[in-house]
Amino acid sequence: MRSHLQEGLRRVLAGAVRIATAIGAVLLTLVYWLVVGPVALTLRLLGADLLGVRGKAATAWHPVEREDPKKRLESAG
Amino acid sequence: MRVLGLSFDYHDAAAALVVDGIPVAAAPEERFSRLKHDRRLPLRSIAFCLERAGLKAGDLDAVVFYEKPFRKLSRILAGAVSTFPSSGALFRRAMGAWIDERLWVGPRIESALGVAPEKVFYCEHHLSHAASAFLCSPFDDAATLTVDGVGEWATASIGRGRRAGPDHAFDLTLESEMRYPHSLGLLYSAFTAYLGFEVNEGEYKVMGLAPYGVPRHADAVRRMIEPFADGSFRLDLDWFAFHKDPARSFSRKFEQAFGPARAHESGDPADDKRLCDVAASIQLVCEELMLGLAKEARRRTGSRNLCLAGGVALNAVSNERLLREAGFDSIWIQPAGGDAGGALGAALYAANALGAAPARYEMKSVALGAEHAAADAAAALKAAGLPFVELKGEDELCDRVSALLSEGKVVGWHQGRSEWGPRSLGHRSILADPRAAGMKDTVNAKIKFREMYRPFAPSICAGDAADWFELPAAAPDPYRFMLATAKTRADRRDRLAAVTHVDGSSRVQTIDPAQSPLFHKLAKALGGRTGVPATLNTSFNLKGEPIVDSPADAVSTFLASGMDALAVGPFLTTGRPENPAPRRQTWESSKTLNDGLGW
Repeated sequence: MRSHLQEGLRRVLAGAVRIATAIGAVLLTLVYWLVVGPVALTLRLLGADLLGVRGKAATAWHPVEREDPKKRLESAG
Repeated sequence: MRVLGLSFDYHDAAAALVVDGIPVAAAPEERFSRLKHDRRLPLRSIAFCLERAGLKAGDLDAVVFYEKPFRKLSRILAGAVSTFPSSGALFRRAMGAWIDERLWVGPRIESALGVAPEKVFYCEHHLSHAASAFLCSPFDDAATLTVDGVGEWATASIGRGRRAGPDHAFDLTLESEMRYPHSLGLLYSAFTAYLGFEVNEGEYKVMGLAPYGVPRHADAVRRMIEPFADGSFRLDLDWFAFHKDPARSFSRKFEQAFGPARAHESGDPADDKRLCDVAASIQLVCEELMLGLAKEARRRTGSRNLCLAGGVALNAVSNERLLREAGFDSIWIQPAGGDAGGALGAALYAANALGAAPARYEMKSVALGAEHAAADAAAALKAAGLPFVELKGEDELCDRVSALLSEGKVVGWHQGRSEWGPRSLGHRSILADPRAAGMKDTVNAKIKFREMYRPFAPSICAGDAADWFELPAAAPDPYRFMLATAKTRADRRDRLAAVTHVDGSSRVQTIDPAQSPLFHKLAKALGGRTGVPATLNTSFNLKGEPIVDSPADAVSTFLASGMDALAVGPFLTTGRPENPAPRRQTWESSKTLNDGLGW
């Protein structure tokens, strides 16, 4: 009896995860087209090159900002 | 000061515990979970590290994550914006993972360990790599070079480390970095995928395949790259897809240039000359690019020493060229060069940055993993129903095992603490006689069930190494940790046939008697019997599985393979059940835990 209940609960939870995953995919698709898309087009119109792939360059090295070692560890970003 | 370093969420999750500047325990999660490249929060590794040090989570002064998650997120969003509208699938998959777990690194650590938020710190990915090399090296002054797929934004970095004075005051600074998508690691990974191997798993296979070919496509590979005089380079993204596709590394143009990609793990790639030539070509270009980066590190810092880390630092062939051609007097390479090593680097950096005058540390041994009591070994053998004998001391153990090896037997060797890093260096090894060429096929086919073309490495007594291999100078440190190749001396190749690759090279490990006394004694004993003071040494695992950790892992792997004998601690078994255990299939489940492309 107990194992039947557990199995039933497991199936309900597995179904819920599948539904949540599907809803998540739909929402992220909407975000991609309604938020990322306009931002991307605007930046493209402004000539932004976020990945550094366009134009002439003399080097691919970027200087790294010097920071106090302790302070350097504090932030997650 | 007690600092726990952690890496997780991408591949090769690991924990490393540093007490007063000295690493006391470090292990990747895969060794305990038995899922290769396990990327999950490494709860088992954390538990092992704390138990080894006799600590509780509440005793920790700091917990350091090996990268800056929000900075990484900014790179992924920038990538999605820049490649709109081609990046929809990548955006959905990446954001799903980020919303689900990756945004909450800090809270997850706090919750898992019960530590306060002010004890949780974050060290940049490449700074973690640089620290894992410099703060384990013997140098007071060194250039650092880190090269991998991608961390937050950085894909390679040049820095400088200094430490001096009685308080070991340290200064480790990254001076310059190359940024995504311009990445040597991702370039190599694109070829790994093209050649039909798993990204972050098959790079060794590409390196092993390369000597079967000639680099006739090197110019085609070079066309993908815009090189600069200072060693840096940009990738031409028309050849790649990793920046916009979550499941594909290379573009259609790539296949038009090199021919159709090999289907995943299909057939024997060594039988296909075209694939061998492609492997040889990317390996050659990888070496050229690494040399350019290393020479620039030398030019910028003026240092005579180099510390190397990051996944590309595990390319042993490239490392040999650096040793010979980069212009440094000494090179030290972190044995756990991949992301697992970032956990140790982050902990060491934090111990130095947050603590007061930590002890000076130099990594002379990689024995930082778990150790198991003889009683556990006996229990594992008994549980499997295997007959075994207990040997009286190391001399008898080495005598019996060397006798078996000299008779052509293949022996599982499980002794002491497990190794830190992906190389088995005589603690969790499968050993065999290196003399007969047929031994390579035997171990590949019947023991490890892996590709027939893949070479094996020799482990040789350090004092004898120069007689057998053409080592640069006096066998520098990278050879202690099996991190560089060397040519087997031409007149010795027929006596090291099982461990000499088709191009005459070997990924040799020199066994230092002070570092690994038992393993050294075994190699000496074998040399006494065969005249060759070396053993074929390969990691104690089967294809697609992590290296064994516990005696129970060793016994179950022994039973599932064709090994002839197993030495676990003081016990030796030569018994085998009549019906071998069925092959295990863990790789499929492991694959789902591996985020190869760093999104």
